[in-house]
Amino acid sequence: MIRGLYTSASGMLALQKRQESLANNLANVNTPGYKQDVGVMRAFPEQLISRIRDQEGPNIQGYPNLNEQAAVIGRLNSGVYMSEALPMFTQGDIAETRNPFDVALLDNLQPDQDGNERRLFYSVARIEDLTQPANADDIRYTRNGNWSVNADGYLVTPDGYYVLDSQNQAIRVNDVNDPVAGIHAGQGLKISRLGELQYEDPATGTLENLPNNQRLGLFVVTDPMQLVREGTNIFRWEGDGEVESLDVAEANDQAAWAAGEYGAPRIAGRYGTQQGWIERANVDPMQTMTGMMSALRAYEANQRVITTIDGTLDKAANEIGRVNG
Amino acid sequence: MQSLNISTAAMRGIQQALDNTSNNLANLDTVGYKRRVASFSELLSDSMNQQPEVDQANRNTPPGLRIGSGARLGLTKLDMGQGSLKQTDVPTDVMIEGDGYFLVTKKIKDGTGAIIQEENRLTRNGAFQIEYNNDEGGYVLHTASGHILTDEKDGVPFVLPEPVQNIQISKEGVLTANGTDYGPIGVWKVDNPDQLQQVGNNLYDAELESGQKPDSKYKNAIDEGIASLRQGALESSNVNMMEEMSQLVNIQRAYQLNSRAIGISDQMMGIANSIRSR
Repeated sequence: MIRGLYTSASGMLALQKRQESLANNLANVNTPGYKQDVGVMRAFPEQLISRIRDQEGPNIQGYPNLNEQAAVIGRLNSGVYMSEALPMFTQGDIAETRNPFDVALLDNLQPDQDGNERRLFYSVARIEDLTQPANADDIRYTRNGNWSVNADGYLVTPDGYYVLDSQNQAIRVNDVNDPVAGIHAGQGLKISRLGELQYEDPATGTLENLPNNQRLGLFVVTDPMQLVREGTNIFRWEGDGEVESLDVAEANDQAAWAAGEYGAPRIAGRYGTQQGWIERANVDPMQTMTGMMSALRAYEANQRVITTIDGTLDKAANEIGRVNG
Repeated sequence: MQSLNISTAAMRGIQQALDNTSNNLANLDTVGYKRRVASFSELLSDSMNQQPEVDQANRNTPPGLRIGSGARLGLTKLDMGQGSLKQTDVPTDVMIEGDGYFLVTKKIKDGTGAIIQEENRLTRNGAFQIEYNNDEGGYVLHTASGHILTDEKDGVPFVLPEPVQNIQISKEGVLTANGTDYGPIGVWKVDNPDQLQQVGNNLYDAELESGQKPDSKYKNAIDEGIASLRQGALESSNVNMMEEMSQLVNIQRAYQLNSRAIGISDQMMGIANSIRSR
């Protein structure tokens, strides 16, 4: 009976966590590139419970009689907890903003040979020395393509991470120190469908590549569930194996295709960046609201169980053995 | 209960986005106004690690439970899209077609009337008026806020010796009055308008020291081929009523959803409170 009290309390705690997770999804319903979390509830490990000081189990035909041992009553689950919040990496819908620094990432990569899910991400990092590529440890992944240009002329996310190119270097759009000869792409920055960075040269009117920046640093993450959510729309890779840059992944894919492992390439032609658009959060407000309501009712039910057990305990404590009751 | 804070943080951000939208709507008819677009950003995540040992197996994600703490307003980006043309046929109204800004300047005086510094501002508002100015000793073209239009060479004000009638401004910005050539109007390219400080009155801080020449910081937009001028017209704001209204609906719904989330969290707290209330 006392166990039931703790079981219900664990239920209430777990539902509180689920409510927090749902509230965070709802809070980010307008955050570009946000991926909703789905809570996973898990029962506490099962215990085998047995009768105290009773060696004689029931005598049931067909079952072995376990005399001389504590008689087993059965298994008991002692409650529930929220074990993990799975980020759902499904594609969010895209919305037009007409801003040159908004870039939506669209992907429909097919699973790899082992059937693992694959997703495409932008790479970003905090960098001390901007002349050098970012340290491998500092690289983070994001789907948020809502960028701006900072005071030094570099492409950054709203939280100050530098957007990286395919060589893990920060992307300089405007050369602030050299107003005459330096590069000044400004609002004229062009990002192609494949993530190539270009600008229109005013002298010749042709599209030129940004110096040193051929392409946005896109990464293929196999089994994206292994990414750790850091907040601010940023994920850190903590799984086994490596995250492949798009060029490497694409080359491997082409090789596997050429070797006849599958009928069509699984990466090439299945992704694209779209400038002037953003990928919206993939949160479904309806579903989240419904989830909250059911969490609320389950919470209430758990509370009723506690109240009921409390009532039973009340009887045991105050009414049993009362003289002249 | 963290979920209260999560929803409150989001509501605060949404309210700021609403402020932004109302400012856009308020400036629906402001000449040369550029709308701002609010966008959100996620807050940091909490990571909780107190979980049973046996839980390490059969998971899809790395150990720990990570729950975010809400959202905030991340950026209000300037939308540099061209506003539509408004024909006025006033000869001192000039519209910039393409990217670029006029540089306007004002002399700041101290109590005794001595000039202490020059205030340099950028604007896209091309509604100028001609008036006599004592400091310049002639007739100048100035904005409604009293800032004087400057030329392309050194960023010095245009000074006309007499209140001329026949003002002509060419596509390339050359200003002629009664047949006299006063040189081109300065139209400056700003690489990153998002970094400009908005100082009200439809002006942006040019961040030039007193006497600093504009070409040391900005490129000439007309020479770069990204701008041309049109006389007798004004650029209306690029705020689109329909777009702002749908944004308003979007914001209001997000606000409602979050306030419902607070309501539900509150009910849960009430339920927890009434565990022992018989």
